[in-house]
Amino acid sequence: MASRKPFQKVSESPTRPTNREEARPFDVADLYTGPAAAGETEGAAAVRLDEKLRQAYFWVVNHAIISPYYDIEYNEAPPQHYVFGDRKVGVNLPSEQSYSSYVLFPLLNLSVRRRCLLVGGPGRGKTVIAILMGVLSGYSLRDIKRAIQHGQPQMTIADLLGNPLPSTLVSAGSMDDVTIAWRKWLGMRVKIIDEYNRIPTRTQSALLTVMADNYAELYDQIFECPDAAWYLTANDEAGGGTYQVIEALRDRIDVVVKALHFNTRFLGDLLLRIEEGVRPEEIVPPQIVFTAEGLRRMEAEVRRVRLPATLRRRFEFFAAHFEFFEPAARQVEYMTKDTVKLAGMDFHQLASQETGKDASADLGFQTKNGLSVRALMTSLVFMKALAYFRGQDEVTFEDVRQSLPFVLHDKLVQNADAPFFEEEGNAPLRADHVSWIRRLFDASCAEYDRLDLDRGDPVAECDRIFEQGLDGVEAKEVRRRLTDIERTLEGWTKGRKFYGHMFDDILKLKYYHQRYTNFLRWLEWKGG
Amino acid sequence: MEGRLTGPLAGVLERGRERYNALFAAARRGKRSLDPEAFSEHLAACLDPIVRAIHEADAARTDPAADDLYLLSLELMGSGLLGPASRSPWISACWEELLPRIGNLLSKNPRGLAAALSNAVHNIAGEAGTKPGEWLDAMAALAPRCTGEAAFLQAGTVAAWRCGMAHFREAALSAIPAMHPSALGIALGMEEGAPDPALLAEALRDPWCPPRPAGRKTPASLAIVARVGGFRGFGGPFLKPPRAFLGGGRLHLTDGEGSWKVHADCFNALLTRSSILKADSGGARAGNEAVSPAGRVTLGARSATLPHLAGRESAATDGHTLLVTVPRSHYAYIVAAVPGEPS
Repeated sequence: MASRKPFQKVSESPTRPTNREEARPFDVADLYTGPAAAGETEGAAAVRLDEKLRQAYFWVVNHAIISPYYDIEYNEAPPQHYVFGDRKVGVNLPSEQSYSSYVLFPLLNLSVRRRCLLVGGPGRGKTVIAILMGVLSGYSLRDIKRAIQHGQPQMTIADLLGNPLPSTLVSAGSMDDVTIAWRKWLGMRVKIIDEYNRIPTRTQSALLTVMADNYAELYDQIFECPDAAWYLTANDEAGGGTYQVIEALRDRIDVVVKALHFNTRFLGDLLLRIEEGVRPEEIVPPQIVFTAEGLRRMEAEVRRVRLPATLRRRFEFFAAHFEFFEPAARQVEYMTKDTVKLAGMDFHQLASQETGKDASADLGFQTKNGLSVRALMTSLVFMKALAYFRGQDEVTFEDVRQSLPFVLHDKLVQNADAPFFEEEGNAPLRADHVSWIRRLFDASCAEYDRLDLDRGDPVAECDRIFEQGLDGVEAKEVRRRLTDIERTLEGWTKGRKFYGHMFDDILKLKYYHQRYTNFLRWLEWKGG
Repeated sequence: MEGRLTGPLAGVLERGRERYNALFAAARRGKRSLDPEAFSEHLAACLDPIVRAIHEADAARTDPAADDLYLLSLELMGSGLLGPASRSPWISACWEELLPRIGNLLSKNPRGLAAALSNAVHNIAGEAGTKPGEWLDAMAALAPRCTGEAAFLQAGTVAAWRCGMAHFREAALSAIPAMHPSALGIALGMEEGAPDPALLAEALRDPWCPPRPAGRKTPASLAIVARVGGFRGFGGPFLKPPRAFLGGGRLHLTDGEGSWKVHADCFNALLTRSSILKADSGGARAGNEAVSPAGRVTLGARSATLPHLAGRESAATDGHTLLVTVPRSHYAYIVAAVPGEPS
């Protein structure tokens, strides 16, 4: 790895060659491009930003963070597979370019300016990778180090946000006259909160305002923060630490990345760093440093990546499994896990009342909650970011499959008592949330394929018809559509258990039924 | 390594001694050929004068500029493109002869401009028939006459065309109207002043009319002015003897495997890769009519017998230039009206 390459070496383009590459047309700017890299590479003749992002990734994994892991696996052909030990531990050798989540997701977080939590034991490089992201954003190492907020039990709101100037406090006639010396980090494009679970609860609330609403408030004065990529670190991902992390703050975390252990086979690299006095964050090559404008443009480009309708449907199907909870209520709309939580009732006691369903097969049994709108939106953003990173203009199935576990890591609360985890080989999934969520998605997709929903989805057909609009639709046609909906619902009542994925379908058909009913009534009124 | 230095670069290296030593050590881990002595020599003989020039132009920019150029030096020397053992002597020449003379421009974007100029001279030297030395001289003379980096590099494109980068002809001609007359004169290789507007207008029409008085000669007969191509095994582009064709209104050659656009004018003739494989309709007939099997060539109002082209295999013309291939040769011949001596 790093021992064979100079630290300043940036991977040559293309970092992910594909067969789609075509002969580049002549460009007069080619006169000034060649083996000498210009450093600032976001101008008209620059490399594409996704290419630059990949170059940054490869520089970090090859020279900065010793992370020889490829847990984000891509395959274009079946991978070589090996099995080790009595527990049949499988190891794949991926046949396509694969990635280390520990470096990849912080970079994706930089590209979409969200909030990334780095978890893991002390000394695993969590703060270093956060600092590297700051340097990649164009800040000097000195500035970024000064801007780190170190969580500690005595941290006050003033420590976090700033102080009123004493002179204005004395002379102020009103709160508006108080001048606040805001902390510099609030205005930065990269924000680092080290050991956020050591911040006192009251100060966490002030931090929540900055994270959630992008402004800080002191003495009725407001500081509007710029869009920023956040990096928070914690030694304990369960939210423990000196202070319990407030739930609202945890909910604002968009993606969780685990710092993996140090592979002792790379001790030689550490030795060389000591001997040569090399600190990677001090020698980041200028070619991979982004400007503020470059970061803004990159986020816009990520948003333009397309999500095919078929994949969106699979993701909808997956997300639909979790919120439904039949014992929670009598009326179908309230049959959600949220109803139980709001009522303060014991989830496990109610869960035991679930009858007739295969508790191992029903994915909804495995969680104590459903997915919030925020979680769904963040999932969509990161699957696009991963596709963008791979140089694609469209999300692929594997991009969805690989990004979801890191986005939903803290969003899906595991029901560790579910029968699924008692089955042979599933117990480790109680601790390994990445594998658990990936397995949930795989199981959901298998069910989706079994139901053949790509070809026969009555709700999708209703969507297609409804999207054509109601203008000019006659009463006879509306009645036919109402009958179709009733017939579909009638069909579902026969012989099928009420599973989570049916919950949203039934409610959507009810929605269409109501829209058509109202429209029919209006048509009849209009027709006299 | 900064013992031999006394100028502003010495100060920069002294202040960042640990970092610069670490950077060198890190670079050397991957490139054992990166010789400390050679790098020290480069710092003293090459980088020091450049940093002095930047310091004179804008002392406040000395530290970041020296830092940028130190990193670029490491990269280029690590790749064998700079320094005493360089396999690209023209990049070294650029650093030794050009960069110390453009301190003012360099101070604003040291890495970007140094890299751009290094790349340009490297690219020019990589084409047959070009004059990278003349280009470096032109750029040194152009620097004081250009208001900023953009104008400097645009003038550099015109100079590159004149120094043999024939494929930059159109870009150069489109840049000319925006150039200051004195800069234009230097870029086009004239002692002083701008070219005659009439000559410039003629050059826009006729690629074989140089837009400078020095090259002004009376038109004479047709002649073979250049030969392009060659067998790939001997360093040329073609696997098989090529055929000429007119595609998209431009002269092309193809060996059946790939296609190349022919750029030929009064400054040079060279090939660039093309995606055009299909000939324009009527192009083949016009080409064949321009060269008889006996080697009788007709281009516009002029005719000549060129025995070398007897038995031509294929031909194409765009009205100014005739491209001819002959059997069993991996080369193609370019025929044009060559200006003769004044009568």
